[in-house]
Amino acid sequence: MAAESKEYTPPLWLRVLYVLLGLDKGSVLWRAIFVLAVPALVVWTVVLPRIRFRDEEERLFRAARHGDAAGIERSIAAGGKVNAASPVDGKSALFRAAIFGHTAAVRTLLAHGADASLRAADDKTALDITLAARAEEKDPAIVHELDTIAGLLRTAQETPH
Amino acid sequence: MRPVLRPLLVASAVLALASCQKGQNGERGGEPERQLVEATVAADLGKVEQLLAAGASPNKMAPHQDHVQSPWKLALHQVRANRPATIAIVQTMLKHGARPDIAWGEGPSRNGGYSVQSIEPIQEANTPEVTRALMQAGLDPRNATLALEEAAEAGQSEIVHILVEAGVNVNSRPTAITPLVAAIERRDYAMMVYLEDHGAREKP
Repeated sequence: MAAESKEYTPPLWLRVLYVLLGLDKGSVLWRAIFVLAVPALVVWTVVLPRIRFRDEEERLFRAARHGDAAGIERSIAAGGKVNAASPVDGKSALFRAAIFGHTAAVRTLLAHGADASLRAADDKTALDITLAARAEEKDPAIVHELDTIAGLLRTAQETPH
Repeated sequence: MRPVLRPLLVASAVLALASCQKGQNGERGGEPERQLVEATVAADLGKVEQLLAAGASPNKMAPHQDHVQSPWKLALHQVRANRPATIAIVQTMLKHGARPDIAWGEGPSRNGGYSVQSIEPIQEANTPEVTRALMQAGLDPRNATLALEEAAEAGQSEIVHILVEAGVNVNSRPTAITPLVAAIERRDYAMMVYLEDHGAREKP
C-alpha cells in the first residue's frame, strides 16, 4: 500500500476499510476469504453431512427406528458410524431408537460408543426427546421403556468415555 | 451515469408490466359466474352442476361481498369434512375444468386493501376427498411436496397415502424436514413404516 502513495492517499480509516473489503490493489487475500466463504459454508453445512451419511448409516438408522438390535450390530460391524448425524435434523441413531422406546437398541448403541451428550440441529439431546415422548405417552408399557431409556441416557451422559 | 440508467429503467418497467400480465391473472366472468358464486356459497350442489353444465366457468371471478372471487376459490375455502355437499362441489368443479394448480380471488393485500391473489388448491382444502380429486384432475406431483410434508406433520395418514400413491416424491424436502422425519417426530410408527416402504430415506 505504501509503495504507491505518490499521488493521492486516502485517509487511514478508508484504507483499512478497502483492505477489509478487498477493494485495494493487490489485496487478493481478503477478497479470496470473502469469496470463498460462501462455497466453504455450503460444503461444510450441506455437502459434507451428505457425503458422511452413507448407505451403511442409512441401514443403521433404519435398524434403530425399528428397535432391531441385531441389525444395529451388523451395520456397525460393516462400518456404519455409530454417531453419524442425520443430514436432515442432525439427530443420531440413538435419538431414533430412544424416541420409539426401543430399550434394547439404545443399550446396543451405547455399548458401541454412542454419544449420549450429542446435540441435534434443534439443540436437543436424546434424553430431552425421550422425556418429551414420556410426557405425551399413554401406554404404560412404553412409558416404562422410556423411563428405562431416560435412566440409561442419564448414566451415559454422566460417565464420559 | 444517466445514459446507463435509462435502458435499465425501461427494462424494469417492462418487467413490472409483464409480471402484472402474467398468465390470465384472475380473469373476470359475467352473469353465469355471478350465479355460480351464489350457488357455491349456498352449497347448492344441484344448482352448481346445472350452471357448470350450462357453461359457467369455475375459474373466472365475479362479485361477492364487495370483492371479486372465483367460484373455485370459494368452493375450496368452504370445504369441511362434515359437509359432504362442499366436497361434492369441489369434485364437480374439477370435472368442469377448475384448475388443480391455481384458484383466483381477492385477498387482503399488504397495503391494507384487497388485491387479486392466487391460492394453491392443495394447500387450501386438506381433506382426503379433495386431495384425491385434485391429483386425479392432473395436479403435478412436484407441486404437492409441501402438502405431503404438512400432511405427514399433521398425522393425516389418508392424505399421505393418496399423495404418495399419486407419485409425490417421499424424499422431497420442501421445508427444513422431510415427511419421514415428520413421522418420526410425531412418533407415528405406522406412517414411518409406510413411508419407508415407499422409499423414504434419512438422506433425502
